Amino acid sequence: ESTFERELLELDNQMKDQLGVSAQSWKRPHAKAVNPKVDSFTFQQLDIDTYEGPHMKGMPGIIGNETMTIMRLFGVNFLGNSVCVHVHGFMPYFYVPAPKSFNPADVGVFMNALNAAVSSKSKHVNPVVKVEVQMKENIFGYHSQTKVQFLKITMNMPNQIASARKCMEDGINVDKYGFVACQPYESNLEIILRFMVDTGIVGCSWVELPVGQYKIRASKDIKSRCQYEFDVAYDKLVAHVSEGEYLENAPFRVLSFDIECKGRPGVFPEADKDPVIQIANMVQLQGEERPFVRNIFCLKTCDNIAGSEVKTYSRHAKDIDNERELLSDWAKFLRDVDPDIVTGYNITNFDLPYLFKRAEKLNVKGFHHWGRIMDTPSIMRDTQFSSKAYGTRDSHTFNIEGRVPFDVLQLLQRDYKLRSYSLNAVSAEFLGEQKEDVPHTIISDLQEGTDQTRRRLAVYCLKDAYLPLRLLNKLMGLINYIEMARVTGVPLNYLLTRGQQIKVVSQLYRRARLQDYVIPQVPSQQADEQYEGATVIEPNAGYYDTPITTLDFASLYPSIMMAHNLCYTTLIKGNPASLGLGPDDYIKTPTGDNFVKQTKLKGLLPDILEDLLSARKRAKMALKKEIDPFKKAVLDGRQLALKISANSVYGFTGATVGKLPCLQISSSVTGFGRQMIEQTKQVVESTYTIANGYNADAKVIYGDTDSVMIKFGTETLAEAMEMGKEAAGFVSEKFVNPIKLEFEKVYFPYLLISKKRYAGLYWTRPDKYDKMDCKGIETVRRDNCHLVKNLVDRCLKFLLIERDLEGAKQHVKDTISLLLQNKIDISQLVISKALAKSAEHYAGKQAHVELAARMRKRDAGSAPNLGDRVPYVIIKGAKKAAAYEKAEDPMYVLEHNIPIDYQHYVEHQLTNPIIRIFEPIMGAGKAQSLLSGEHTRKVSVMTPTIGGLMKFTKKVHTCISCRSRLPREDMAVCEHCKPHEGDILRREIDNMRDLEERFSRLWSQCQRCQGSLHQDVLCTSRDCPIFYMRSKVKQDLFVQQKVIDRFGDEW
Amino acid sequence: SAHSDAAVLMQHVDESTKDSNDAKVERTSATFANNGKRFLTRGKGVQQQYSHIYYARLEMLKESVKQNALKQWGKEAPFVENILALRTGQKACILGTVYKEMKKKPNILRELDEAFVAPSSPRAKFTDDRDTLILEDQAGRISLIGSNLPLNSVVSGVVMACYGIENADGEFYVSSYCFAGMAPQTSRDVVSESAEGDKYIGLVSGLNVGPQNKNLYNIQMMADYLTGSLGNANEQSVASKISHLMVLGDVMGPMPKKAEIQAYVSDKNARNSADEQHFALKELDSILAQIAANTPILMAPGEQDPSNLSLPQLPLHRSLFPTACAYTSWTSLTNPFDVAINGVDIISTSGQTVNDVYKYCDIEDRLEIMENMLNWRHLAPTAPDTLPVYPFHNDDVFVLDKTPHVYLAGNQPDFEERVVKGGSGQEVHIIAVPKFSSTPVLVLLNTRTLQCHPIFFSGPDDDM
Repeated sequence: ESTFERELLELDNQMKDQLGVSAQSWKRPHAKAVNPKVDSFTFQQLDIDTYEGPHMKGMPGIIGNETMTIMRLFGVNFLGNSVCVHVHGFMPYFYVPAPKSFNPADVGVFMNALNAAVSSKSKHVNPVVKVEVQMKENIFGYHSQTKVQFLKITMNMPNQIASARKCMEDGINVDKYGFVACQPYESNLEIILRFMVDTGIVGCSWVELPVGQYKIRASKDIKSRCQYEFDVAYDKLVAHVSEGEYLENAPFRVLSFDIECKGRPGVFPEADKDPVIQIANMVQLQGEERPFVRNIFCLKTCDNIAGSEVKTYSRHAKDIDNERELLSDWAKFLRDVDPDIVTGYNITNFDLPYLFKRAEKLNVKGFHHWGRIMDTPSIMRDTQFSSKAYGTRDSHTFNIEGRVPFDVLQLLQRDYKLRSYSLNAVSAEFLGEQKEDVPHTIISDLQEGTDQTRRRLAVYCLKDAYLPLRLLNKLMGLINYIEMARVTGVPLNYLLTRGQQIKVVSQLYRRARLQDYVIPQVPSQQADEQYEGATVIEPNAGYYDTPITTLDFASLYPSIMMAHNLCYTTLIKGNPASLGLGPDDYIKTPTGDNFVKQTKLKGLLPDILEDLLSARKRAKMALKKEIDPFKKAVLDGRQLALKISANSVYGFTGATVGKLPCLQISSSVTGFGRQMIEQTKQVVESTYTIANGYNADAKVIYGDTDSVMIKFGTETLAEAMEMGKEAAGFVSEKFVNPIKLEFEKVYFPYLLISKKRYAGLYWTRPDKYDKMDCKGIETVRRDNCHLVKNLVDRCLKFLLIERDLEGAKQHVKDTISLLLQNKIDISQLVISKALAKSAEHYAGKQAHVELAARMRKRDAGSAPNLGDRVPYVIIKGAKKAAAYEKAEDPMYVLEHNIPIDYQHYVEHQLTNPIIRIFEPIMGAGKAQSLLSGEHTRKVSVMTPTIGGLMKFTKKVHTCISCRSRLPREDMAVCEHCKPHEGDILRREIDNMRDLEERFSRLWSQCQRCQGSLHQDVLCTSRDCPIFYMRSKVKQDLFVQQKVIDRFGDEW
Repeated sequence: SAHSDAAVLMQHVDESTKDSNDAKVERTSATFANNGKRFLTRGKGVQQQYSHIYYARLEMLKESVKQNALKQWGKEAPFVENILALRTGQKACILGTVYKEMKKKPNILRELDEAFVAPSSPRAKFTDDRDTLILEDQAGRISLIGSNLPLNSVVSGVVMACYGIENADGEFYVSSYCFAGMAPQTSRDVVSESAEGDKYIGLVSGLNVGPQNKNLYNIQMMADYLTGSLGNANEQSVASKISHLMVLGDVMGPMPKKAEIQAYVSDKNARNSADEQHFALKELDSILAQIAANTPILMAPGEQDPSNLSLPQLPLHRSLFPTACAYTSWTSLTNPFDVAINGVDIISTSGQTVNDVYKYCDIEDRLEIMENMLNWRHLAPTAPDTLPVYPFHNDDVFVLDKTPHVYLAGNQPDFEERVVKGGSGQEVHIIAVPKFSSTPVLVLLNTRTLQCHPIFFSGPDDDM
């Protein structure tokens, strides 16, 4: 890409200005000498792991023990030096309730008994290293704040906890206490999180090694590739709260890379057969806008690329040897440049596994050492990630000690709902650029070509390495994730690899610890218990041409939990009186559960929620001040993430298969929610009445979860807003703080279709509407084709903005007519579904799965892979053909002129959305007229160029005008039409001219976009709006020229 | 019907020409050769992409540009093999195709965007202060900078050599640039005035007959003039010396934009029923027949005529003008065309090429644009970037391998002419032939002196 190449150059020149040298310097800044006796050492940790090692002299732990758990913190200091800190002496533990009347002097007895039990039942010999008595309280239930004896059982290794836990559940004999069996507490918290909770370290926080408290490793004991390597005792670490200067981020290094492989025709590259031909790399410092390292490793020779270093591998006679050298050098580069974060697009499921397997196949020595620990190679594991919120995904994981893999694709899949996640679609969406997409079948040709074609490939590869960085910058992906890690306390890598629950777990444990609560381990239970969800006030469906005021409860569920002090710790089990609670000490929730009031004991969950919501408030304040539209969007994303985190606390208590379900909390929350919506309706409808001196009787026409829509009967927007504000204040008074009903917006006009489906013009001030707001309507759903989205969108604009019902109706008719006449661009008709799992895992036959299988048979190389979205259109099939047989690849349809089942689109895609929108306005049954009638009469039929029947049909030449049969094939029109030949020709020429203009504009646009005039366009970006168009116009023009040719050569 | 009309007309013509036998003799004596067979491209389909045209163009012009550059910069001019071979800080000459990066250039991607709002009035020019030039060869491309660039005059697709130096920013600072210059020209025997007097070619374009221009008065006047039934004896004698009438495109007016959506109301009969264009064509056919009966017509299609849209445009089909075509004096030509009449090489376009270059450069003077095109040795540089063109495979038919004696462009705002000279003694008469519908002019070109005589027609409706 020309602009991209220029961009590369600019980067190079900026660096030259800064450093005064052209060669890209990879090394980290010089590490200044540190003296532990005088200097403290502060750094930002980004990754924490554990390993087994012997006890270290002078450190806590068991002296002489050969296998201890040692924590390892990796990070970067303010100056950008890399650090590895070995943290000693932290041991895993869990709790059990002490046996009745336990004498603290008997801890040894208990320890021996447990050790004996574990030793006899597992391979672990005497793993319990310590038992202590601590006064703790079960988090579950209100106990009048009485702490009881718990035994803290410390184990040598984390993997021994499970055995010990099992023994305690099964019961052990403890001398004078007899048979002791109990539920263990906190036995399932993973060791890294345990360590972070206990030391107060949160994800990506700053940690200080105080003066005199740490040791520098002697060079003979150095294990890591970091510039500094220290040892410290776990209880000497100082964890800084992320405030003030510790809110900053260190200048850590982000490497983004992309590989190209040489596939064989028709086959997706396989690591054991197809070589890696290029690896492009970009490295950027956190806080800077541009990458300071840009290079590419190329198999064979390659022309220079200004602004990037091109390293070529062609020294050996055999390419396989060159490839070995390339891979080996790349791994060395990776270690030298020493990134803290490794990113790219789909690296975890493509680039990294591919490199891994390829190097294994070629037996490249030392290649797999990607991490920062010298003698630990990376190993690939296949995992499956399951989460209610994110679904199930197959995935690969690697241990890359000290570096955090941060795949931009995974980030986008988590945070954004998009129609397509291809890099092209994503860069079009967020960067506003169409990206050239080179099909991998052509990659081989480019590789086998000249230095110039390889250079072309290299530029393309470099761009694919650069885009993920730009996306991260633009979406502030890292910054927001670091913020999230700090707020919720989990390590950065958890955020991409784990679900929502772990974030609540982390926060809960941190709070519980401060107040001496212990958390029971609840065995997973089946989700058989159902509780009533949110209420919906039955919608009074219709089209409202008057202002509809909408009042919202701000953060309803968190507010309810805070207002009513709903928590594990405040739940009253059994009779409140038996706990000595008077009627004023507790509340009864709508579901009949009792919780003590805040005056008696403040719950932990309300505390957690307050933190999250105040962080959200800060984000919202900043959002208000921000002017830059993109930063605005980012801040909006941040406040939304915090909102989701706050709401996930409620979800956590309701997750029956979760870590600590408590349905009394979750069902009470929804119970209060229902009550409040009902109460709001009741108050509003009884207050704002004609009888009370208002102009009209207010009516709540719809309410859902946390909002109510009110028709006050006012004429003007200003009045509706005034009344909304007043009502919000008036009703809020009836609720407990911090529950607050807020006036936010007025819909005018408002189209209420059904539950969770409505659209309206959204006003927050009376002079100008903010936007058109649509909920649950096809404009925002992604499993429809663009045609539906565009049609619905346009109709709603006609109805709500232009207030033109006739225009909307006409638009529907026009669209259907164009559709039936084959005049709608095929890209509008493409439906796409993600190929989430392979065919055998789907219950029934599904269109997109079957199609993917068929495409694989035709050309395995271009067929969609697992995880891809499969684009398809519905074609005309045999009469009884099942729906799944009628899905076809849009390109295949274009190339073979296969007729599309337009009727299917009308019936299955357009009908419901149209009826839904128009029925409330036109009345039941009347909207049907939009779907049949004069405009549906003219239908165009295509003749496919393939298929069984074609073999038996004989091509008959017919008159271009009247379709009557012609005696000779070199005639254009019949005798009857001959006098009008000029007119007929002119019409055909008209058609051709339209096609010619499109052909010219589309293909010259592609020529411009790829940034080269002299080279063929290779791009096959299906997400580009003109991809199908340019193929179709080529096809159509070819056919039309044939028609024109029939008029003969006598010009 | 048209046929009987023509029959009557022919009778009339026969009678009117009886008095001027000499005119008839002269007309038959003009020699005519069509040298533009290369423009007669019949579609082998559109399976190629546009890169091949650029490739072919560069290959075809490379040597001429280089030779011209060596002439200008000396034999030692340091030409590098290709753009990639440039080294920072070293003086070098490069050669390639110009691409003009323009912010305001219409972009179909942008237009497809739902949010796109078409500018309220179509622009006359798409140039902008931020436009930049890039030079590209088969190997790579580089940005051109410097105050000495032809940024105002050059357009995308022109082949150019640059002398300069690559700076640290990877841009090429241009100190001097060079085009191919005019192609060789065949020598023309300029005879002294012959006994039978000078001969003329009539030039007209942009009749624009159609729904928006129903007033055929001026056209009929021109026809009457050509057939000798208008004017005094002197004028009649000049008219009689017109050996050919060249019609340089756009006999038809702008076509109404097809309303696709309304298509469903039209039934099958409507397909065959006559429409407004049909009537326009019919009237045109009858007027052209009147002329053809008397004067040979060379008809080239233009942007709005019923021929293919991409250049080169094929000759108009005979079924469009059934009456006029019946005359042997009717010749349908391509656009562009390349003919020799009485030994005068004439290359002509119906104006799209010039009008398109006009939009993408800052030059107002149409003749200057035409002169530039001769110096670039290219008739349609902006094709395919902004002008539809047939996707040639190994050829670029618009490259000029010779310089004509007369270079015409139809459908220009005004009648203008100028004689320009090339570097090796070439002398070209450049003529802008105006749109007849707005400037009713018939230009008479003297095939001996190559001087032009415009003849204005003004009907009763014209306020002149």
